Amino acid sequence: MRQLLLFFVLSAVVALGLCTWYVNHYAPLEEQFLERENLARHHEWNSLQKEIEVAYSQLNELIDQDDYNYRVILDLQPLGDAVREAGYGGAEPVYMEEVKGYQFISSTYKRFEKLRHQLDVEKQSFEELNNTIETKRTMWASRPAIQPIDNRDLVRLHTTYGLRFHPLLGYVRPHKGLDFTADRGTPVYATGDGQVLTSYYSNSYGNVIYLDHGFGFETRYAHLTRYIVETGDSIKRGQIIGYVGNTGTSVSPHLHYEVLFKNEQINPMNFFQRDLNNEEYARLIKLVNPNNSSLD
Amino acid sequence: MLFILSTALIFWGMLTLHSKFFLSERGKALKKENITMVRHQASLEQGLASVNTVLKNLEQKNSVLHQKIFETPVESAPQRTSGHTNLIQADEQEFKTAASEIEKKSVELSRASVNHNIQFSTFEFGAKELSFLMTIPSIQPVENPELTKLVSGFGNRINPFHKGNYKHPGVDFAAPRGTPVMATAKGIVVDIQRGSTLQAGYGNFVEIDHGNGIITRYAHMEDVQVRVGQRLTKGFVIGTVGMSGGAVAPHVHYEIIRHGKQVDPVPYMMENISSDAFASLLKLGLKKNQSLD
Repeated sequence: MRQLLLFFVLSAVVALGLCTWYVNHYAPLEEQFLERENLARHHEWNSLQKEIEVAYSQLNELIDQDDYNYRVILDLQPLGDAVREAGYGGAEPVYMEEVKGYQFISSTYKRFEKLRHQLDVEKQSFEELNNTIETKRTMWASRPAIQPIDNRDLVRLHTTYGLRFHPLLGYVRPHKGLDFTADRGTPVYATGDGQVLTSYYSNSYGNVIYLDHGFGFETRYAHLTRYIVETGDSIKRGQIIGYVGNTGTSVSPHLHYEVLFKNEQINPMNFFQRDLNNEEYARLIKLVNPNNSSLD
Repeated sequence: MLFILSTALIFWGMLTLHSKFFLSERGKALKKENITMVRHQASLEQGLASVNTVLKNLEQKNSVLHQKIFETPVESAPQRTSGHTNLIQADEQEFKTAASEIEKKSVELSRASVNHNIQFSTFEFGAKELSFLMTIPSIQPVENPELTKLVSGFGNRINPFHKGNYKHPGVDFAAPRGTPVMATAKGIVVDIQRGSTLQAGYGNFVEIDHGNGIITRYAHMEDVQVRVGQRLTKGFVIGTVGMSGGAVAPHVHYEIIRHGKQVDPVPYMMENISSDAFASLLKLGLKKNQSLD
């Protein structure tokens, strides 16, 4: 019995000696374990920081597209640093107190908050860009941009805008539109999106339609046999609105076509390409008139 | 034997107890740091996840916007490198053969180029030749170091108004209003238009005659700063970028008219530009997108 006790005491003493020696030379076990965990945490923190940087560079690419590409085309000013930095900073969030001792944590938070802020600003910027392009697209669709008569049905285009001798009235006076000679009954197409301002019979214009396209543009189609739209109707470019005729002060069947900007007639020749070939024209018209029968 | 075992056991027990009760300063600090890191990493990761969702959403909006403006899809960004490099497996013998082939070919090439260099250096560049070269429109009409201003090239393009295909008779360089426009070669101003309020056509423009049947035209300008009859050198500022006439964005519409017919101006623009940049410029000019006029 006593031998056993001695045995244990001896081993305890030796163990104590070893322990003392160990403790003086090595960090405690727990601490070594904590060191390893700490290293792992720092690795993960680095990955997190890298991910934030990746997001940052993606955002910067979008910002570059915005400021230097889209805003140039849309005729808008680039936002610039002043706007992008504004509203950022100010009162420090609560957690900043907590992480005061850890520079690397607070700097990551700062970086992240900046990213979030820039992202918000960019979101709003994209809203503005989108609204602008939508307005522009409406304008492009509304503005007179094609010939009111299918090229194939054209007999002759009279480029007679300006001073000319009026065949019926017998004197020289300004001709405020273009004459498209074509067979009676040839379909006439709206040259831009818009609304019918009015359609009526006058002694000079004959059967005439006035279309309002907004943005200051108006078109008029005169001497029609008849019109098939009414005041207030919404019209799409390429839609059939009437048929060529000889009503009013006209010598032979033709379409008298006017384009007005801010209530003044301007030369319609500027508002369509004559080289738009037949297939292209037919395609544009077909999109709006699914029946595509030339006479009804 | 038993002694060693028991000693080891007691030793282990003592160490564990010791470390549990006597955590050093360093140990305490580490513990605190680890806990803090875990908590804040989680919070940041959550924040980052929502940021990435918003980013993805913005990328989508970007695609849509690009399509609306240019009528072409946005080019996908080059694949982000994941940090892995692909190792190319090559057989040693194959590699040796390929290397010697390359060496042989490059020797032939250097021999051939020596001949060419000799020919080139015997070409006489007199005053007459230089004068002729100055009349060829070989630069871009606006400063365009990143090449990004060339938005739509010559030929078959989408018309921004009626969205049909049509022949775009020149090149569109998008730039903010007020950007200076330069004459692309030496010549005489033969026609200008200023103060145009017509919402269609060329708007304010300048036409320059360079001789030898070559005329250049610069349209949709805001300010025209030259007069008819004025003689100018290559690079002379003739006005500023605007949106006059039938333009949908501020840009200069640039044409080269050779013997009465419009020709593709992009192949001419080779001055002050590296071969790689020139190749990119040609490519940009070929994109079948929506023009700005």
